[in-house]
Amino acid sequence: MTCEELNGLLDRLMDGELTEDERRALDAHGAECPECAGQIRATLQMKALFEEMEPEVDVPLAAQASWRSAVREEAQKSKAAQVPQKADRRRLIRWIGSAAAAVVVLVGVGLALNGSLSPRKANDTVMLAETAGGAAAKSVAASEAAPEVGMIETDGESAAYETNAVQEESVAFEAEAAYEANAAGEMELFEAEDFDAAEDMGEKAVAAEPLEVAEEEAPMMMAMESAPATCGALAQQAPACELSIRVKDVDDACGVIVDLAEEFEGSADVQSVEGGSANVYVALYGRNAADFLKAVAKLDASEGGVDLPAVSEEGSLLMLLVVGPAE
Amino acid sequence: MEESLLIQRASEGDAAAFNTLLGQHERRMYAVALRMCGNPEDAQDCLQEAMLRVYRAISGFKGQSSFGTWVYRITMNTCLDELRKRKNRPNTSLDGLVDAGWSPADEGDTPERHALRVEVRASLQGFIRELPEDMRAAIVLRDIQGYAYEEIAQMLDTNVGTIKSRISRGREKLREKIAGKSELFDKYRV
Repeated sequence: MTCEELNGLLDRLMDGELTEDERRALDAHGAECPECAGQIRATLQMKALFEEMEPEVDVPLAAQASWRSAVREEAQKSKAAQVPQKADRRRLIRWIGSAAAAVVVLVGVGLALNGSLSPRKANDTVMLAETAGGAAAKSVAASEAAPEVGMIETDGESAAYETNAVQEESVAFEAEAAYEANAAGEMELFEAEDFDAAEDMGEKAVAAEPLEVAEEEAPMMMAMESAPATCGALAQQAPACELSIRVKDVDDACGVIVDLAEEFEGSADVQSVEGGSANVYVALYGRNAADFLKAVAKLDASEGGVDLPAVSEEGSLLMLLVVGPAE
Repeated sequence: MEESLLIQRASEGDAAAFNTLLGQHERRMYAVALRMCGNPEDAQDCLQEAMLRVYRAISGFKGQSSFGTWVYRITMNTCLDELRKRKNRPNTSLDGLVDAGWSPADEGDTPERHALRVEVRASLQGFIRELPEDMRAAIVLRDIQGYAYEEIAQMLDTNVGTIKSRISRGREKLREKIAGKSELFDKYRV
């Protein structure tokens, strides 16, 4: 056996896969070759030490508590963020949002239309939407279960939303402004028993007064999120734009892109593809997209550079970066 | 409660179900993070980040692999992402690593034997930490966590050939470093 042949056996020695004959040959060579003997010894020492390393390690109590509460917090947040994405609510909001006069639908039983802000029951909700004039909704804490309040940016104005822990849904609302607008003759108020009834009413109101749903207004509603949705959530959609770059080191470039995505308040998901390329899905606020793309373009090593796609500055978007090895 | 039911509930946003489900995997996840990050503080940060990533992604888990494989894949990717971000940070001391994750020492250890054991273990952990990340990942998953080559290939999103190559080269590097400190290692293991 040569030293080279012995070297080739060391992995199987480590994995415990040598036959008896092979093992004997290995040891015989080791008896005559001090360097190989050293390699064999080091392999066996490594093997023995690895066996002393346990595959499961107790997690310190503080760390256990920490991740569990982080998950609980995330659960609250994502429930809040999910509501604008629900197809039915989005549809309802979009229609309402396109109305020349805003339609406010009150969902709940026992909400007095006298300006009182405290719902009778914990699951009363008030849903508002932006008017074509752009008046944003602000929330007023009105639920009995002390909810968390988050902020959503929409069209430069802020809307706050609440998480009602009992109902587990977040809705943007401003009861006070609705009543004022109603009193001033600017807003209609309807009362509905539940969400389905509210949707019916919304549809009827829209049918009674046909609207032109302007395409540009729809993204305004999509902007009602507190953070760019994670790649997971946005992955349901097709990417809004795509960019291909060629780089010397695909892994390195992907690492940099992930860092950049975070610097630009977004998130990235890297997927390796055949042939050494990678697809990177990036979720960003529209307002950061152009600068992010400029930064990514600097990674490109090909001659002639890359043409940057145009991106909307509204809301959040998902983009696909195809990172391939340079020739 | 059955795993598939917990997964379904967790996918619907049930944080309690999620915490129960992942509670069954956290010690393995932490073991991976500890050996990849090289110190307990970073490992705990990685563990938390990995848990959040699993939570955010769980509604997309469709049984394409076993749940555990899928979770450890996310854990490993989280560690690799964190390591890339922290590339320029100096390495912390190895002390915190020698307590966690090793089988308990013999009670009959003399103080000298104990000190030797600590030094040898710290050395090996240091050598692992010096490996390039991709090699380190493959070694950790194979030689410490005990996964099969095919599973590791799934977790690291590459093929078995690449994994075998990384493991082979990683072991070679470790071997050379151990042989370079043969006086120490020979004393510990006859």
